[in-house]
Amino acid sequence: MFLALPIVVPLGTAIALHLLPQRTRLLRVVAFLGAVLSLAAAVAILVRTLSTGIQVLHVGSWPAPFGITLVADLFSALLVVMAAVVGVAVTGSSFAGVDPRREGLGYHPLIHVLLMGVSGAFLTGDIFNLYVWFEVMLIASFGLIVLAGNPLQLDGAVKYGVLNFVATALFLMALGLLYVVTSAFTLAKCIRDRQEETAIVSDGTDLRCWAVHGRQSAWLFTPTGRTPYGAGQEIVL
Amino acid sequence: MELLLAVVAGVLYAAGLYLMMRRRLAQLIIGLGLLSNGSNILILSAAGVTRARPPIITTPGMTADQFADPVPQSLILTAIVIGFGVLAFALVLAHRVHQSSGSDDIDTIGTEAATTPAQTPERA
Repeated sequence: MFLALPIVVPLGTAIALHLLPQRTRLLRVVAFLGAVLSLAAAVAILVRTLSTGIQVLHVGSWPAPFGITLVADLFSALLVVMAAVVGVAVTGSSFAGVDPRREGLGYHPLIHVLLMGVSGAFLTGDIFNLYVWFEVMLIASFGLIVLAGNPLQLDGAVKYGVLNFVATALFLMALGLLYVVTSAFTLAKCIRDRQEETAIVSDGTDLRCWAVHGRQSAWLFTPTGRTPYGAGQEIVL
Repeated sequence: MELLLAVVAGVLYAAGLYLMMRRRLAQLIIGLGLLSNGSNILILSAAGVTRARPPIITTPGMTADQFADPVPQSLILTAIVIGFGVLAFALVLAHRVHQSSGSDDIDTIGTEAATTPAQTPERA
């Protein structure tokens, strides 16, 4: 159950931030509290993983090929802790860095949805669920890039968006082909099949690598000065 | 049937990518829609097309070849929903870009912006 906490806590925080009265100080306190709670949950998972090994949660008690499985080994627990630390740092520094108008437009809930997507992507044991978490992350990051919508941000959002749309289509295609070969979305099973070195499986995983790298190189393609990063800095400034 | 669907998926990919490489935002969004539909059809045809075999166990003891695999279908359903969300976002983005720059040419988004002082961001 507690394996879902790094996903549930940011989600709850984001919902609370939407429902609470939109007073800047209240929002800041709740946002920071949520980030700290996520960090506590992530550390708890790391401690549990260190003491008792790989943690598995079958969501809704559905067994592995039918339901969604959350898995935390030492590496993914470490990644979740890292993401949570960054989350606390970003939330804390944004109180001084983000202009209050953008805070009012929903900066804090978006950051928490982004954190939820990141933790979910690290914790999931199911490739299709990974795709869903990537989309959660993407939509939140789109929201953050265009927040308040000045033209520089829109310019960045279009370029970042298009490359991500193509990467998403590639990712989906790779997932479909991978499923046809392995009849499963469970990462553990796909890795086992990968070791048997089926040609199409490696094609599928290569496509997936392309999709992920495509997302990262989206930053490189955009000309200097008009990057989504630039738009992000615009928010922070 | 699989062959036909494979060709359809290929045509959708080609048309979608062609439209996405144009410079107009509206065509880009249509291309995006075609691309995501191409992916869905690709998954459907790769997983095998069945006729009159819904993914439901109507009588106990049905074997796996008597009903269609529900997983690719649920995958496509999820992908359609997510694709819808992304498409809605892209439409709003295009509308906002058109509002701020008065054009839907991708290359003019940033440059037009510099000449319209009304749209420059207010700093805290």
